Amino acid sequence: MRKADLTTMRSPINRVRGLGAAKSGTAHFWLQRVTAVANVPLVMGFVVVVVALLGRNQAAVVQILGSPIVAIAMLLFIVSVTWQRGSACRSSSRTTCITRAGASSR
Amino acid sequence: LEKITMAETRVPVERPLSPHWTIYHPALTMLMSIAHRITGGALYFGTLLLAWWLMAAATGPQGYAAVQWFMGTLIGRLILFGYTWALLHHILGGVRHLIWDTGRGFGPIEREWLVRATLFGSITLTVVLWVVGYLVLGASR
Repeated sequence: MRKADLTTMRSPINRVRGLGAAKSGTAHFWLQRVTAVANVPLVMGFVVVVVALLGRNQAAVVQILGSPIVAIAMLLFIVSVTWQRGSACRSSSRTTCITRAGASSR
Repeated sequence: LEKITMAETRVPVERPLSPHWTIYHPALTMLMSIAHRITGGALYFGTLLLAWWLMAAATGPQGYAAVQWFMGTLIGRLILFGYTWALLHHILGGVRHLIWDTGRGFGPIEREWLVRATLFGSITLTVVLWVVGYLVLGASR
């Protein structure tokens, strides 16, 4: 253990768990990044699927959505976007801080 | 004696307040930060439309026809157009955040360029996607 660690009031186990005052900082941080990276290809896939289904009747839509690749992509898309959003409601603002620093220098 | 009169008059103390957004000039970076949050929130409600669409498809032809009718109305199209832009704006903004997460793009020129690219990219992609959508719809008829 580094000497600097002993000067903090947080216990080593608390540091390892990565839990600050919010109790979920590290988990939230990683959840946001992992879902954000996953969302990039998943959104592209979702857009392609929706465009491909435009104007088709229900039977054709069910058939296409029911094919394994499309179904898995749609499922992953829904899980990823809803999970990220549910978690984002508790996030703190990074860009607002950046914006303030930038705007105040003008 | 002085102390007593001061206590009785109860003059409010002017304490310094930490700066809030109202005191700054609106900057594009600030507006894009707000837009990212608003589009993210809007997408949450847009997911209801997605759920409705998928459940209707699972239910049967009648329910699906109802969704198709609603999405074809002017209000339905406006909602879908807004959802398209919100989705693309939020995903491009997300990519911008991922770039910022690497510690890059914080300079005055880079951050301005990034937010302009986000806005220009999301509007362009939305229009392109809708043109493609109408072409697909036209071809299927």
